[in-house]
Amino acid sequence: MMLVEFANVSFAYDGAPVLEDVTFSIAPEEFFGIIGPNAAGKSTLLKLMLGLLTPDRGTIRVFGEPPVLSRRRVGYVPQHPGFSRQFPVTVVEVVLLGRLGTGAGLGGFSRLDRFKAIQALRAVQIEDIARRRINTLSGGQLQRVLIARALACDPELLVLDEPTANIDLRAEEDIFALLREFNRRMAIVVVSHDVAFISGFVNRVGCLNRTLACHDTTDISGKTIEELYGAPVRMIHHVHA
Amino acid sequence: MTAFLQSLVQHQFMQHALAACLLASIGCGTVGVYVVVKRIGFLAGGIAHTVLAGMGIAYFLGESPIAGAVIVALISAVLIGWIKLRWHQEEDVLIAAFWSVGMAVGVIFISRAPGYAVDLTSYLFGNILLVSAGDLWLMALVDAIVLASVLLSYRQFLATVFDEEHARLRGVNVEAYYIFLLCIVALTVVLLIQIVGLILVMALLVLPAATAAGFAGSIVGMMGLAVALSMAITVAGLGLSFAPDLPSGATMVVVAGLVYLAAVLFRIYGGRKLRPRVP
Repeated sequence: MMLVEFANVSFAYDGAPVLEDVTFSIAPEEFFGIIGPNAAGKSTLLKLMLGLLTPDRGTIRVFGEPPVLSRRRVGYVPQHPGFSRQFPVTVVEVVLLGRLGTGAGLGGFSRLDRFKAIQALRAVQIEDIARRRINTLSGGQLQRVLIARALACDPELLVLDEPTANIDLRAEEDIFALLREFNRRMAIVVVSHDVAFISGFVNRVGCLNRTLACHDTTDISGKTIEELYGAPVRMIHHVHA
Repeated sequence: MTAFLQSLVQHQFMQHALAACLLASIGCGTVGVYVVVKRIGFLAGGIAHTVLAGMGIAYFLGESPIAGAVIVALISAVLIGWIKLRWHQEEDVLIAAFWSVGMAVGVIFISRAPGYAVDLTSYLFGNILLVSAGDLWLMALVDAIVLASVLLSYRQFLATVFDEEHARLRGVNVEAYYIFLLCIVALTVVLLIQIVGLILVMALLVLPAATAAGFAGSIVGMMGLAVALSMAITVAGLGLSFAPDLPSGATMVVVAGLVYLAAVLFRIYGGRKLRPRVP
């Protein structure tokens, strides 16, 4: 079974088409990169995958189910954190919130939750800042907190939207090295605008510009990139590898 | 000050007033933290002022004004929450409409109430010296409901006020918890109306929690600090108002404002910013 399946998916915001006839699938254990220019629909594609948006046409299955039902098996790292940096909360509490949807419905966090949260912090190598308040963190540290929060629920699929957009090159390499490590245990989907960089890490790349064309990373050539970025509105005709 | 303490020992109404301050502080310190971090002060204000409709109608019908306040506070919390979620764009106008129409309905019913014309100012500005033993039990009950809700739904409330999108992805029914939170705010508003009246409720709901925000490292720490500050502020207000016979609710609010101002000045000029627990 495929982990993620998109079949002829189209989506428009108030009549402005963002995605058209997108069809692709992601296999278990895959490390899948999605690249494309600004406003190509990359974040929209992820939001559809998570069930935060519903497609106008076509069907989406994640773990064989509609995305809303499979959410709890997916860890998501958003491009921009959906919270204020001034919120009085510590790193470990943010990661603990990633445990919601597991365990009992009422009461505080359990010992298992705390164990898993510390484990997730260790996985992204920031166990030492667990008790810091989030307004004291650097951009790279905050990014690792967001990844730890996504890992805390033991996801089978990890979805990341531009995880390295706000950090420097060195930190970017470290993050991708971590992701390659996590890929032994879970499938990973990562959106990035940085074509050259991610092709060194992922198994397969989807080039998105309203519609999606998939390439094995070995097939990525100057010509495919030029096609993607040089003709921003034109559909890219492509034979799947 | 000695006169205040003497009176506290001698008079039961002063003991009731002190107990009311402490009981109200538990609720408003806890819930005020959510109001401050979620930035729903305006919504809480809307709920507080709409409550006058409930008190007016209950008074007109010869029922307990507090019972009317509870019912209308809960109804307006659900409606205002629904407005916020459903008509986000016109939110400010709709809440302003609720706010003023609610008060107007209250004023009309009170003016038509049979018997003596009721003293409106005790609803608007509170009258802590009239708190009865029954009122205290009711306040304790509201505190128990508020604390039980916050304890049982701690994770869901934290997720909802911290990051709605993430909470939704983790299976939290964000809309339901948002409305639930507003209902808890509504109950707290009723709790505070006894003390400072509905006009001044906002100050005690927001100022102690906002003062605590600058110094606490977590939500739980902020709640503890806000409760302690709120107790100190209300008791100090009660004490300060006693000898010169000032209105106690208004005195408490002025104290709360001064404490908040001092905290802001301390954070700006008091040397380095406090950053708790950096290892």
